Formats: sequence, structure tokens, C-alpha cells
Amino acid sequence: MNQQVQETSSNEEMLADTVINGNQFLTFTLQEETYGVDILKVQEIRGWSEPTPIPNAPEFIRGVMNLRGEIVPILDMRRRFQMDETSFTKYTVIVVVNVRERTIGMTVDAVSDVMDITVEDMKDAPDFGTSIDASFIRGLAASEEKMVILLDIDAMLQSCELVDLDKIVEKTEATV
Amino acid sequence: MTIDMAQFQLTFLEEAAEHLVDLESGLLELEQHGQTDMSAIFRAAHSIKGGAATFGFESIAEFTHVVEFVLEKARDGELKPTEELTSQLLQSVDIISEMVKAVREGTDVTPEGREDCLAALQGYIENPDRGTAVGLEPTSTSSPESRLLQITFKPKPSMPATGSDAANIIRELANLGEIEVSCHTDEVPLLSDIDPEKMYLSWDIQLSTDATTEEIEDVFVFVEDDAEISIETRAAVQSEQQSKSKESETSTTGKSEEKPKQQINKKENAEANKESIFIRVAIDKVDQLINLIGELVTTNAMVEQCSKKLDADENQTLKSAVVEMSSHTRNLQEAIMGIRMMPIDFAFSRFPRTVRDTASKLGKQVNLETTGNQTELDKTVIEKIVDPLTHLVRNAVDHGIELPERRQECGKPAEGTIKISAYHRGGNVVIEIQDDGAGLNREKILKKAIEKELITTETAADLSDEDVWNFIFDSGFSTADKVTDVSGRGVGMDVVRKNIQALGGAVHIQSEIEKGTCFTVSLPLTLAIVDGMALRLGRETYIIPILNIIESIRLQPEQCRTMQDGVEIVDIRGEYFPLLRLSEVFGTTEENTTSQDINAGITVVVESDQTRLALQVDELLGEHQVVIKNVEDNYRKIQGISGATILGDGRVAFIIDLSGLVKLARENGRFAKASKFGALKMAQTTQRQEEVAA
Repeated sequence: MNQQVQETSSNEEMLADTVINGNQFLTFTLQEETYGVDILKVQEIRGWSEPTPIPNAPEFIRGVMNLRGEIVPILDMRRRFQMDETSFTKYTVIVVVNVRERTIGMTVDAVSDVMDITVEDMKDAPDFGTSIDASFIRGLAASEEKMVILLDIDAMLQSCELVDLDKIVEKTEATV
Repeated sequence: MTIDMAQFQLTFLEEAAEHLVDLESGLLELEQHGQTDMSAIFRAAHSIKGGAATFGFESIAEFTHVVEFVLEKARDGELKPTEELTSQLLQSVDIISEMVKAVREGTDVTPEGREDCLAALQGYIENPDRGTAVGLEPTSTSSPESRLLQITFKPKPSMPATGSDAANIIRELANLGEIEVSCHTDEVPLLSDIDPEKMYLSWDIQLSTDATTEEIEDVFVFVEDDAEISIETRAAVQSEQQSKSKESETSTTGKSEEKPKQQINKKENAEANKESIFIRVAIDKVDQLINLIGELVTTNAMVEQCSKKLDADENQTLKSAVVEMSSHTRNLQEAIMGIRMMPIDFAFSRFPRTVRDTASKLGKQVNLETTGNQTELDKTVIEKIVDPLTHLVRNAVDHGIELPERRQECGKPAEGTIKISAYHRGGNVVIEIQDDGAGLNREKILKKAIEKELITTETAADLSDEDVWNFIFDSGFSTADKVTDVSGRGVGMDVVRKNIQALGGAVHIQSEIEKGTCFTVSLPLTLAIVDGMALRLGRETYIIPILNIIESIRLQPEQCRTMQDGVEIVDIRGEYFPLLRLSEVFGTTEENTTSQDINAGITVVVESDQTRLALQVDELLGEHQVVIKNVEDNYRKIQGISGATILGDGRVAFIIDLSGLVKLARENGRFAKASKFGALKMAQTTQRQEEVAA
């Protein structure tokens, strides 16, 4: 069964800190790179278990899983960013985030750390010209000789045909 | 301490709604049978007035007061319950409910016709058929002369907790006549022992009044349960004869008036029963319980599965405990689901009014019969089915039942009959709406369908009656010759079917010309649980609602044929069905090995939207009752999927929505277009003819 590695949101001390600084990030790795998401969006981190595939869903949506009775879609971040296929290890985890009142899971290679990043540390994202759409990126931050790509998950999920699809569904219904 | 008035207001609104229902049904009964429990109607109006006044809804209180007053006169026999009067009262019920609605929605609208209705009611008060002076001081015919009453009023210590004020009651009595009050203070404890929220006083009251005993009882109506009340006549003038006859039955001291006392007792019992039977619970709490039990059932299944793997000898106690737990969980689930169940009477009770209003507007005579009113159904289902059913009933009056003259020409009684019945069938509730009217006109519907280019003249002849009747569910389809404000606009029937299907139900029509039409609506007991067949597709499990399944069969390759455009059809005992390979429609072919081989998997014949089709799946896993979970909370709508459920092992399985599936398949070109059915049917008929010939 799913094993809960850590329940971040319950760590009140951490939360209090974040409220003051407003800039704590959960960092995780995807194919050698380190990414960060706003820790306030993170609900919990779960161990990997095979989700149920959704019929006719985009490839980067792995399927849905049962999170204490709630049906939660799981996004494969490697597939989303068109990286090499994920190989599942014991470090592969699902980061469960809350965005716009929706709960969504993201598979990442491993979670690393919680980092404080001040506004001064943050730099604008350059045009990558790579697979990752620059609009998903809130900025870059350098810490301990490591570069962290800070993701704007709101923007990312919107482009993932999760949130915005209400419109598309309406359109299909209209054509039927 | 601050009191949250909003909360009490909400309670008032809910109660008012219930009282209004009582009021309306009482009045309708009065209209139909010329008699009803007038006291009950009066009490309902009285409670609305009292509540409205308490919570500062002056306009409701004022209006209801007049209604109450008219009712009182009717109760006391001063006003004859003519049809005109009941109509007026029914209209006033509408106005009250509109005002209550306005309060609930926080709008400040005075309903149309309030003033006219008020004036009309005032007219009844001022010009009753017989009776004396008029005004807000009530008079009565049953005991017009003044008499002296001895009233003992001994509240229970707990009375103040119910919000009743003894002083108010005495004040109200004082309004009825001359009053002399003596207060007993014997039971008042020492100051140090006094609980300020308790009542220690009791009163002896001498009242000289011309009011009826019932009017005096009404003063005490809210404290009946919390006080000892006795009303004795000291100098009875008129009603002595009445009480004399009763005196032999009970031994009494003095000249007590037995009859009212008995009534009080009876009322007391009724009230007490009511309170012990119902408690008011917020729907959120019930929903939460249902969610939790859903979780528990799932977790229980997991535990069950784990325990099965354990060695029977070593873990005997654990295993038997698990078995016991499972049975408790199931019972708990049934009990909790039962909380939401309500008798369908909740919906049916509206129809007498609908039928009455529609029939009188159209000049028709219609008798409504309802049976199975106590059939229980989930509250949400009832709420959502009320409007579609009302529409069907209204249609039955408008299109079904003919005008009285026409009916007599056909040799039918002038009064039409609409029968509405509800009963359980399997896991479903079936509601039938049957009229003995004109029936559906096949030619007329076909003409319209051809006009609308739904079918061609050639294919029309091949359609079965049921297919023809189903056209009336198409949007923009109305065969009414003229559009009335009742029906005929062609919106509606498609909405009716859509709403019923959205509830997981189905609607069928049977009709015979000149004999009548019967709409059969079948609904699931609840929205939260569905009886499903679990099936395997590749590595995944899917659920199909049992309601949709006709049969399952293992086909031989020769039963499967491919048509020119790649659409496959299967031949099952001479009937042809389009075949859908579920794995193709759902795009899960990579893991599926059996989809190519028709006899390796199993074929399930299903029906949706009156269309039958064959689904090719890998394996049937068995029947399950599954708890439906919403997928759209966190994801978008998935076409062909109506929801999901959690299996015993904690994994998610999708529930298939057949009409969505058909749509999906059509878009992908894997399914015959609607027009193909004609051809299919033709092929079928030709083959049958050949068989016959052979």
C-alpha cells in the first residue's frame, strides 16, 4: 500500500516560518535538475504506487489514485517536460499539491529538501529554448552551488488540460 | 450571551415550508371531499403566523393572520367551505410561500396579488354567510354567550427553556375576556436555590369570556407539553348538554368540561409522538456520515482481503473478528443510507395541486390517484425527480386527457383519470404515470419527425412503436397543435429525459391510441451507490451499471461481421447489434491481447438510450455494489466515464457511462451512425423474412 513518507503541511513550525518569509520551497529532482514548488501548495508526499490509467487521457497523465477516498489525478512530470521515461526507484514519490481547490499528484524522481529562498536570491527565468515552457517557471535561485528552477504550478497545471479543460469539454459537447 | 437569530430564522423557514405543505394538502382534501381536519389546517396557519411574528417577518404575520382568521371561521362553521373559498385560500397559500421564499433568498419582493387576495379574504370575514360582529375580536357561534371558566395553568419547571413566556399566555387570555388571576408561589425556593431559567410559579385563572373552548386551547397550544392545563366551566351556559353525555364515561369532580380535556390529551400525545419520531439534522452531517461509511466499507474490504491470505489455524480469532466486522459494516452502511431515504410522497404531494390547476385552466376534468406513496427513495433523487415528474403529470393533463365532450364522444367517462404509482423493482424504484386519454398519435409523430429530418419517409415504416414514441423526447419536438402556456413548446420532454438519465434512471413509454399513455420512470434508490458488474479490460477493472446490462455471451467468430466502413456487427440469435471493442474505444490496446479474438473475451449486450449494443471485454469479474466517487472534483470530465469507485484492494476503478461511450465511439468512427440503424433493422427484417420463407 501507499506509504506516507512525510506530511509536510502538518509541520506548524515550518508553516509559521513560511508565512513570515513567504518563500519556502520544496525541492525535488527530475533527471539531474532540481526544481522547487511553493511549500504552501504542497499537501503531502506519498510513496509511488501504480495509478489506474484514465481512458483517452494525455500521456503525461498517469492515471488516478485513491487518496483516502478522494480520486486524485497523477501527473508524470518527466513526461510532462518531455524528458526520458521515468524509471521507478524506491525514491520515486508523488508530491500531492493543492491548486485552485483541486488536489493533484506529481511524480518526481526524489524529494530533496525544503529551502528558504528570499526575493533577492530569485532571478528571472531566461528563455530556455528547451522542453520546459518558460511560462511555468517563476524564476531561478542559486543555493549552495546548486541551481533550483522554481515552478509556477498554477500556470503549469492550467496548461496540463486539468483545470482549463472545462472549456474544452463544453466545446466537445457543443459539437456533438 | 448572543443568540444567533439567523439560525432560528432558518428553522422557522423550514418549519413554515412544512406547515405550508400541510395547509395545502388539507385545503385540497377539503375541496375534494368537502371535509378535512380543519383544526390541523388552522394549526398550521397559526404556527406560521406565530413564527413569522416572533422573527419579525411582519408582512407574513399580517397576511397569515387574515388567512388564519378565515380558516377559524370556516372551522367554526361560520363560513361554508365553498369551492370559491378554497380556491382563494389556496391562492393565499401560494402567496405565503412566495413571501417565505423571498425571506429565504433575502429579497424584498411583495408577491403579486397579495393585496387583492387580502381584500378578498377580508371580504369573507366581513360578509360571512351568517354570524355576528366582525373585527379582530373573534366571535363564535357555538357558544356566543359569556361564561365563566376556571383555568389552572401549572407550567413544568423546564418551560422557560422552550422559549414560552407564561406572562404572554396570560396576556392573551386577558384579550379574550375579563380575567382574574391568582398566582401560587408555594414552590418558589429560597433565593439562593433559585435557578433563573426555571419556572416555579403556577396560576389559577378565572376567565369570563364568550370565546369558544377551542380558542382558549389555542392560547395554550405551544405549551401543552410543558404544563399541566385544565379548563373547567364554572357557569357553563350552552355546552353543558354536550358534556353531560360524556359525563357518564369518566368520573369527574365538579362540572368539568370533559370534551376539550380529551382533545387536549389527544393533541398532547400527537405532539409528543411527533417529537420523539423526528429530529432535525443538517444535511451536511448526513452527507459526511455517508462519505465516512463509504471509506469504512472500502477499508473493510481491504482488511478482509488481507486476512484471507493469513493462515487459518494461527489466526482463527482474527479471521472470525474480521468476518464479524464485515457484517457490522454492512449493517451500518444500510442503516446510514437509510437516513437519507424519504417516502416519495414528498414528491407526490405536489401533484394534486398541479393536476387541479392545470385541469381547471384547460377546462378538463381530471381525477388523480396515487399509490405507493410510502415507497422510499434517496432524498436527493426525490428532489431532482420532482420537476421532471411534474412535467410528465402536467403533460398527461394537457396532452393526454381530452376535453370532457370529446371523452364522452369516445364513450369514456367525462372525468379523466391519471394514476401515479411507485413501487420497488429490484434495486430500483419505478414510478408510473398513466392516463386514460387519447394516447400518442403515431402518424402525427412520424410526420413531425420527417419534417424535422430525423427520419426519412422510407425508414418510417420500419420503426417500432417504442422508437416512434421516443421521438417526443427529442428537443424541439412538440406535436401540440397550438402552443399553450401549459405545454407544447417542445422544451421539456428532452429535459425530462436528460434529468432522469442524469440520475442514472430511464424512462419508457407505452401508449395505445384512445386508451391512454403510460410513462414508466425507473430510478436508482440512491445516487451514492450503484449496482455494478465489474469487468476486466487488460489489467484494469471497469464497472458497468447492472441496470444497463441485458446479457453476456461468449460469441463464436462466425457471429461477428464487419461492414464496409469497418463497423462491426454481431449476430445474436438473429438480432444484430453493433459491436464495440471497449479496449479500442478507451485506447488501452497495448496491454490487451484478447481484443482481436472475439471468442477469447466475453461480449456484454447493453442498453442505453433505447439503443442496444455489444461490448467486447476480457472478463467478467462479478457483481458489486460500488460507492460512486466524483472524478470531476480534481480532474475534468472523462468521456464515457460517469464516475469512479474504490475497489477492495484500494485501487480506483472507473464506472462506464454508456451513452457517453456511444458518443465517444461515434466520434471515433467506431460505431454506426444513427442513420445506419435503419439499414441494420432492414437487414434484420429481410433475414427474418428469409427464415420464415425457408
